[in-house]
Amino acid sequence: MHIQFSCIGGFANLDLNFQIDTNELPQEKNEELKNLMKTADLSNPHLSKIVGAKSQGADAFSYQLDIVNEKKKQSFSFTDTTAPEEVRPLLDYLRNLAIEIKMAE
Amino acid sequence: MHKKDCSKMKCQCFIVPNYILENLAQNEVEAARISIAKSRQVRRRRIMKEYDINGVVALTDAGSERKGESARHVYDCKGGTKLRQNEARKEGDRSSGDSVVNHAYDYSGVVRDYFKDVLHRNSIDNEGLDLILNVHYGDKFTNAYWDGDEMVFGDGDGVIFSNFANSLDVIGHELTHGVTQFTSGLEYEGQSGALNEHLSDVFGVTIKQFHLKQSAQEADWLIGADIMGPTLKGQALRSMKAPGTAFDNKLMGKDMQPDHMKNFYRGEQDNHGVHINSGIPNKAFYLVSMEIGTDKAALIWFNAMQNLFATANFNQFVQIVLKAAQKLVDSGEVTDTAIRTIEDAFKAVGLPE
Ligand SMILES: [Zn+2]
Ligand SMILES: [Zn+2]
Repeated sequence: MHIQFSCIGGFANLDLNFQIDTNELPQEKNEELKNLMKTADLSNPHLSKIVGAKSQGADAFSYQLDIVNEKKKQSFSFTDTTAPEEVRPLLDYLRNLAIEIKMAE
Repeated sequence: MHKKDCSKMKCQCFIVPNYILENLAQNEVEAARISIAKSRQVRRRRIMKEYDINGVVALTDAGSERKGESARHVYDCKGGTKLRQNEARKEGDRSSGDSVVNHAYDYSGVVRDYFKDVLHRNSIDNEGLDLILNVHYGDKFTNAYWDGDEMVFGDGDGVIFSNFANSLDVIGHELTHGVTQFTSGLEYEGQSGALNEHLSDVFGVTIKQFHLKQSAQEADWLIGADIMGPTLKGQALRSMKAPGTAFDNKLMGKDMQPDHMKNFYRGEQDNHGVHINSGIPNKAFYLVSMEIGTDKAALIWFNAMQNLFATANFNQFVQIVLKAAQKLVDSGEVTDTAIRTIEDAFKAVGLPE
């Protein structure tokens, strides 16, 4: 599975992004990511409604997540305010991974 | 250049609509009406969220449509992403064992009291809306935001950023987003979005200077200096004195805020640069404060804030600030040299265009 992720803006106006093949991740991380994706329930059709939702307030991060596997490509965009509760832990995880990758560059 | 929805007959791009400038009294009545309507909306939304969270409509003060007492409620998310879960300290409670909870409580009190005592505004909605602050949100969450009803603060990653709630200017900044929502409702996009950010930075630093009893000359004019992690001491997120010089590090890259219209950011990131182009009016506010004092500059900006409208651009902002300053000169609250000072400060950053 191929993942492309970005987390942009926020109070500190960050610009974080990466793309990886999940096979490249250490097994432990790969497992954790799979679990978080399961929790996020990304195939739930109600998520597609959120993608176009207007973000409320100010200083929220904007997240873009593209997932490609053999069968299909899925694209999601969320902000801190529009992301559904189930997806937030996954976004936390991906954002921290993005920071880790950027700092290791 | 005209915006696409702007006919030449009724150009909205440069000139402030007349109903705003010429009919201020009427406008203030209208603003008050809108503010009350918005206040009801937030109170209802808060109840709806309560319903989502608990499955029952809790009988909290959030449900009341009476004037509130701008009571503080600090919630501990305990690393989770649900809001308003565990109330850690509410108005009048004794100090908590958690210093982050205490900072959120104390600093939001300083901000609320500044708006009330100095600017005579009764909380975010001017109707005493309660202040809701969520701390320890998420896992190493490197952000703080205003979600339209309440404030949310992350712990930071511990390397680049420390806790976002441990800073008076950050809490002042977020709470001011609430005030903006209830006054002009500046759209969070492009120039109006950069003005929204600018106003939050203005009151963030102003309240910090007021609290520390610093003059414009003594202050550092930095936003977010207190939340930079141990390896980045001395850096900050924004500098109003010297936009573009606040940080230079591996995670964030180099500060790209312009301090002049000639370097205006035209890219689409960050809602077309709301945290970037705010450097331009930020610098102008700094220059004005150095001449007439931050307290007087903030008074003028606060008055301007209430006469702004949702789609205001930089040029229109300059006009409205000057108009607000003239009113304060007429009432004797500000000396008449302020007008020239403001014109010169905006000119120094290339405004009006
Ligand atoms: Zn902001
Ligand atoms: Zn026009």
